[in-house]
Amino acid sequence: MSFSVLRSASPKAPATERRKFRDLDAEAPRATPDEIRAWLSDVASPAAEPGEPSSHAESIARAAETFLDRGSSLRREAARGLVLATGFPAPVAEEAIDRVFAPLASAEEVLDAAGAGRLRAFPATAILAAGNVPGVALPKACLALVGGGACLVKVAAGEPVLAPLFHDALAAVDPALASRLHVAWWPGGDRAWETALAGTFDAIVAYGSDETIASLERLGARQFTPHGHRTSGAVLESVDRSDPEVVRGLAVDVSLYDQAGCLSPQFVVLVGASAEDAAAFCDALASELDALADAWPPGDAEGAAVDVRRFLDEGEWRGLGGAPVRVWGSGVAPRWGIVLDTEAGRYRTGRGSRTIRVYGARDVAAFEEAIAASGLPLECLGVGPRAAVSRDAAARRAPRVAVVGQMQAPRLDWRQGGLDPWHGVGIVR
Amino acid sequence: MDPGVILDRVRAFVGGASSESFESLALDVFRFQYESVPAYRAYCDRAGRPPENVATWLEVPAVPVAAFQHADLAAPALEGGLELETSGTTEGPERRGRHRVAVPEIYREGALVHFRRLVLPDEARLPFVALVPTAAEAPRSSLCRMVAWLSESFGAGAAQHFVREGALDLEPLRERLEAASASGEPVMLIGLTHALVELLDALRDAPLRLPYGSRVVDTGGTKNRMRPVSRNALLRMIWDRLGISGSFVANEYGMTEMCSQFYDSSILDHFDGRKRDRFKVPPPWVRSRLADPETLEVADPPVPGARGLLRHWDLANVASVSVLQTEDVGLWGEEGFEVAGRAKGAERRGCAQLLERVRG
Repeated sequence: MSFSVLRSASPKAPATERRKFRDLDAEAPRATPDEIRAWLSDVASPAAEPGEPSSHAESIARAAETFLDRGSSLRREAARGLVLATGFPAPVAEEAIDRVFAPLASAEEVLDAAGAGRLRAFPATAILAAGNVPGVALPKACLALVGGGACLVKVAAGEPVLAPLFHDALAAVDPALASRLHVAWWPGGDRAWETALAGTFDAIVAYGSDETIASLERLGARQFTPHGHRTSGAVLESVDRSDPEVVRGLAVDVSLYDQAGCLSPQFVVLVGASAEDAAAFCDALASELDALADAWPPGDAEGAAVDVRRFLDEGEWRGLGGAPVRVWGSGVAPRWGIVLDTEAGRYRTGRGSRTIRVYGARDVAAFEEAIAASGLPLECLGVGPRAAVSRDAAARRAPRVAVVGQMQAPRLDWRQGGLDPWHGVGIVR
Repeated sequence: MDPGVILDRVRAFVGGASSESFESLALDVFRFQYESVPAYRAYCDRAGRPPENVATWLEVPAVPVAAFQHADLAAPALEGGLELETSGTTEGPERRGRHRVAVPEIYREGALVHFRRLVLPDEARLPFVALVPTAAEAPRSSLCRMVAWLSESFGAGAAQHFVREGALDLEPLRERLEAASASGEPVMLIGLTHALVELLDALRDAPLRLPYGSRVVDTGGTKNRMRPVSRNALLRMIWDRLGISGSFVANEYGMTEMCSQFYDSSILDHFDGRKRDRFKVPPPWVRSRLADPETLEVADPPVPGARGLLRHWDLANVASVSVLQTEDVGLWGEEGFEVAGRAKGAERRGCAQLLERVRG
């Protein structure tokens, strides 16, 4: 498919080059920092009219609705592009589009997330995306636009698709608002670009590895918001554990995006479960993971097999070495793995690629104690739909609590990293 | 099975004093290990492959190398021996692999026999210039133990070590090599690849020419320690800065969990007058194959050009487990394999990276 990453209102079209983003052939811009500055001087000048937040939210919602229409050409292009660029299978791409755009398609939700419309965005914000989880930069970019700012989105090589297509959709419904959104890509680590960013933009929001974040932080941007590595888990009480929907929801959260995102659970704690209960839960989870591996095969089958095998080997040999550990795996070319370790006093993450550790806790207090001792940088804790005690405990330990199955469907009010949703793109007065 | 009998058979095989086949010995070693190592027996039973279900050496169940981090795989009936540890992984020091070598004589004999054949086919006696700590400083290092055995057996005089407390003693090393250069006495420069690269970097502006017949044996690679250096680039640097041609440079491939080593074919080929691409040569008591990274199915016979995860059958591991599934990627050539890095796993591209790697 023919695809261009660049979306710019700048009259001067930069030179582009052909580039492969995994299997996606794309035109990648060779934009320069000077061109970005020229664009900013047009759209982010002090005299520029910020416009009405509610009107902007309406435009954003209409643009997002385009992607929820399964017959729209933009949606088809988005789905095809995601498959090629991320390696995720088509059903995952479709699921991702729904999850990214459903919150943005509600003008009310967009406005609420922008401090009920009171957000004053910084004049110029740069959002640097990373990884291949679809659409990570879009919520903050939209809030910056609603708040009257201009926003540069640097897409990630792993997912260069949704931001430029969203720009197209926005340009179709509100060209003036779309002119304040600039989408570009350049190779990560380009020092000239990064230095120019720090001197040009009022704020930088950065996603990425801890090394990337540390490198960007050293640039000394006026306002820098890092979103580095985080992880998630789940806690389930007996009232929820036997519910097939709960088990399936957990499997969905594990399987979607192959645990690349920080909202995907890497461990689950079973409160008050006997050894038999825990094993039965693992049996049920294994069935669901297996079914999902057929419906949503891993994006990188060989790499996943290596990861899962490492995970299962460790569990199996710990068990053979005398530790009270059991494993569930998926056969010759493993696509998922479960390690049940009910006596551990601290929790650890899996190895990605659909690997999950299952722990036990005698009660919710023990869970809280162990999770505190584990020192994991938690982003989200999944809970069952009925258990109130564990939900309260989870809320004390993680910025976000969600019912399993919805862990990877954050709403726009998600306080990522414990910060307000608009943090990094403006101020609410 | 009587441990003494199987140990004697392996000892004879390694020493070249046996006429029995690899296959029959491998199957009996498997039976012994199945009977002697409880964790391995449980593993084989779980996999449905006790000895009665195993008909050929290729069917002997392989243990992932990582298993040595989590279970004791030495035969309890064979007490004592050497306690060896890996130098740790990216997952932290508590994830060290541990290998108790209950019968060090077989380990030592194998190391000497194969080194002599591949590195000293001319039976030269060279002073050892070691880029590893002494075995006294690192008693649990299999490499340091091996270098000690090699230098005691083949060295001209006591080995000199130029790695202390984790650092390269660069200036004394340079002086030692300058002295060799001036005296015309060739040396055996042996040790860690990354220490060798550090030396070569230091010689960039003041290259040496070591006497003809000097050799370099390096091991361990450069990954995760410094800038990665390709094998060809390293050979070029060794020629430019030490004056040693690639014909006298052999890379060693081994691991703590395995008693045997592989060496490049280059030095032996030089003395045999053969011209061919270098590859890793196993000793006669080791066989290697490539396993499919996704399914771990083993291709036999291996196909030139094939890529896969290296699996080794090492009979010198008689006192623990002989069949090891590694995560080393091998590329099969016309006559053997070359190591092409480590299996990578799925690329981490999201914000949920491997916290475990840094947290242990």
